[in-house]
Amino acid sequence: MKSTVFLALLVLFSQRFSQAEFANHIQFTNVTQRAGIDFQHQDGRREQKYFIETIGSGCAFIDYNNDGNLDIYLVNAAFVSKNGEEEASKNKLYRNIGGGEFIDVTTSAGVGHPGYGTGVSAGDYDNNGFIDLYITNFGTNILYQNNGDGTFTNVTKIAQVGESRWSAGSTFGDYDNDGDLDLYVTNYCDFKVENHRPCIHKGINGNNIHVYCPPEQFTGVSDTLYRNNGNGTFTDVTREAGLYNPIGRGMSPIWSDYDNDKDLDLFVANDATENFLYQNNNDGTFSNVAWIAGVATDMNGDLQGSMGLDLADYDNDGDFDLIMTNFQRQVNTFYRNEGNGFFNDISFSIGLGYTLPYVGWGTGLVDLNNDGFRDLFVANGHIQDIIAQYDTGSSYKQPNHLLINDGQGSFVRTNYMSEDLKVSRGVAFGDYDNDGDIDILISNAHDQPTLLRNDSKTDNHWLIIKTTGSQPTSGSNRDGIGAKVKIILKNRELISEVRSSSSYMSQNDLRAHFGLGKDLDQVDILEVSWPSGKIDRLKNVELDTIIHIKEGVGQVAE
Amino acid sequence: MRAEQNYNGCFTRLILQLRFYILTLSLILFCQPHILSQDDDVALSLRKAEGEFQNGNWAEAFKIYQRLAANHPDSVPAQVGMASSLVKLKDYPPAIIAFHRALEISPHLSRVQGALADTYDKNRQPDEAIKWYQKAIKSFYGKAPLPWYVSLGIIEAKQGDLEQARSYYTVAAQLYPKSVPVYQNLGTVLLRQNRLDEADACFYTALELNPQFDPAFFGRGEVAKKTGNLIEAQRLYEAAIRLNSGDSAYRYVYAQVLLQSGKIKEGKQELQKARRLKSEYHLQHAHRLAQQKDWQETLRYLKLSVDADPTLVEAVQDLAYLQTQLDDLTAAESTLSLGLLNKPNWAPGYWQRGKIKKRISDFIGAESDFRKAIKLSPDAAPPKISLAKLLVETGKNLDQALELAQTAIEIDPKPEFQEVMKMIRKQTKSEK
Repeated sequence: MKSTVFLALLVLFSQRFSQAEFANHIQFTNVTQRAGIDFQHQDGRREQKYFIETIGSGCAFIDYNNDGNLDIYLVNAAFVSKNGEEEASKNKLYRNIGGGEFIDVTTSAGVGHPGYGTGVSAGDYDNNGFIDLYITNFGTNILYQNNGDGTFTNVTKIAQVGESRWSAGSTFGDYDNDGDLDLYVTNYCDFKVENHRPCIHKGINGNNIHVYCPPEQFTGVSDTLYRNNGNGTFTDVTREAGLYNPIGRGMSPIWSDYDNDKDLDLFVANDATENFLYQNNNDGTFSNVAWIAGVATDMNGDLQGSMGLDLADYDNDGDFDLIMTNFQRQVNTFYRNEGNGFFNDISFSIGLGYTLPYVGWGTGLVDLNNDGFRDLFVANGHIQDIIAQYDTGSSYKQPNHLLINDGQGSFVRTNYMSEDLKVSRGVAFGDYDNDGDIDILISNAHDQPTLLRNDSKTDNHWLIIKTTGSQPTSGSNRDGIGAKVKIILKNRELISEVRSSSSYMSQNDLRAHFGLGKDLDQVDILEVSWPSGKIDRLKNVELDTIIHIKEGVGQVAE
Repeated sequence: MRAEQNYNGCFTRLILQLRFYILTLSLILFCQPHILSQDDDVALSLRKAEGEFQNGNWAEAFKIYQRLAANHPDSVPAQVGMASSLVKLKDYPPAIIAFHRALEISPHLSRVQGALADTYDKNRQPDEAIKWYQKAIKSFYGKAPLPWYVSLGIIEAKQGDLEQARSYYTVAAQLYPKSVPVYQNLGTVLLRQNRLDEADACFYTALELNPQFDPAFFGRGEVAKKTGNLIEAQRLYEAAIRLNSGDSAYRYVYAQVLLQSGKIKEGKQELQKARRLKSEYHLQHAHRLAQQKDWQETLRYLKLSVDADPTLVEAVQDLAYLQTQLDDLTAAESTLSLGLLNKPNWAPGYWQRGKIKKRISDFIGAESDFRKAIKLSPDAAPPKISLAKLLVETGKNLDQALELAQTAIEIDPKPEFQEVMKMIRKQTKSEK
């Protein structure tokens, strides 16, 4: 009897210890200052409380000079006033010089746009082998063509992609499979400074408080789809593609072949209105199937204030599941892909109920401890700087959330980042120090960004795959955006997809990262399914390394 | 971003709380005989105030209590009455002050502590609400009132602490084993915690107590859906809908189950019903707010209504009208355009959009819209008159303007149309 009790206690203790164990191995270090990132985000906040000031900006991990190291691009918003003089706040590009350090190369690169910036996405739209940047603005958006020599050129007018409404997110993807990257831009709403009206709320002491207006005060506007003509220019094909939808208050888009029919579909997180899921009809047009698929609203059919999103296979069942971050009093919605074209809202049952008091923005389903299961990170922060004056159940600065995937279909909340309170918005994920684990870059509103280096100590293996399509000669776009990467192990399969922008108005490392867990010596099979339809297969792939796969060739040296 | 979360049991909480306020006042009055032994005028005033309160004349009740409180500052009934009236008038901050004043005079009045907690909750101060509910429960002699446990559970659930919510509901279920809302709320929390068997047991118990309780059928349906039993889920959702056909959430979830079961046509029909119900719900709320002249909130709910179902023409029209009244013509035009996108044969929509385009000097667009309205509705007079006026004002085809006005008068010879005809004739003569 005593030994039975002892064994029971031992089992119980070891289970609890295992949970704590994987949580304890996760470790992040804030290296922002050390890395030389001296950026300060400005949102031009005024006493009028213009709505534009609430949404913050995005950020990016990109390798703009192809040296194998991830560089950083940070979007800035507005003008600041120093000593009575107006000074433009510029976006900034920091080059990774190795050793964990970055230097500001904005001016020499020519990418310091001074406009009211919102988001950034990256993609080699001209297939010249160097990543280009698209910056969304409150005002005309900007396309920076990478010249391949460390500099960029503003080719917006030539390319005809100067959307001038208030754009939020954007994403490159080859929706027509013709080998070049097309561009989808979300446009938020019809706010203009001239149609601003003050909004008042009653405080807990009965006084009237001037607050930022809610998005329902403004009318949505349609997003824009630009088809790449293959000659450096784009054509606005929004209407002919069936994507004209003025009901949307578009925030973040993501291209993904969610239904495995070899063409890219499009998810759009909309604020205070239904989300969109545009299923590609493979004839240049799309159909919005969000309501039918079950991702337009939450589980009760209620519209949500959705801001950020990500798609990844959280349960390793071979299809991509969807996370959307939402406003306060709305749980961050997790939609499990049932594999039959439908999604089910399982937010509460996987442990996201606690997110109700928070306002979520950038997010990612990324394997942060390399155990083979994708974890969940959410950046939080309210929009109302004086929220405590009328709702003591919330706060302006909020902790970001890190949840560990327990491998059983749920997420376990950790206490990481609970002390670092900022007003976070965009988040980008990538391995900037090439040590095999995913680091995190966070854009904070009206504050400095946060660069979190992943210093987790685990015995887990990993693999990072860089893809290169065989364009401009034939085949897929040079970045391999849209390629599906599958790793086949003895007892499971892991999948990933190469994507342009996701999260919230931000750009992740384009390389596909896999955590592989322990107890394996190699990857049995690695398979890349290219947008062109070609498939490359590698066997017995070495672990704990970064490999480069070229379409039609296989593994190539860096 | 601001859609209110739908918590089961909230409606029951409201009924319980109204009874609670009346009971609080009554208990204070009748359990404190020393108050009744005072001046007859005071007793009379208290009775009058209570009568006004029970009849829903809260502003009047407040005035009486306020006068009493001014003359008798240590009168607990006056302070509590004032506070309760203010709560009904949704003026929470002074209500909180008045409740605190009552508790300064008489610190151990647990029902007043409970009322204070409820007011803090309404004033979006959940931490204070929790604190005062807990005090009220501790200081209550006997079994604390059910609404306090329910409210605590709801507050904790809203803050995302499902485990704490569950513990409050569990205590409530033990104290009030015949309470349907408690089992329903407990079941909902357990469902969210993925404790499906326990959740199902709670919903089952709720149905044993009240076989017509539709939320419990819905809850059992949710359990069945989560366990993959779509046929059983369908049956249970249908039962919930039969009992309450106006709940959009039921229809929405039922639609999802039909779709996932391969019943695509029926699923789509239910989806449309769900959206229409939600839209009508928001529209009704908007109309109530319009009666109170709260235009910002009216605008918000009209937009929610249109977002939920842009094919609900009444919502589109009302929204466009309000936007026009608020001088946001661009937004009004966008709204009508959205309506026309979903209903391309909506003649009044073209006519209204034409009028807005004319106001923003888009005369070509206005003419096009008026012509479309006429084509779709050839027997309607107003678009003809609008086009006739536009043609005259832009100096275009006067003969056609005359013809249009004539036709309009033949359809509807109202005086204002006759006036338009006169104006066109005058213009025609002066041109000649």
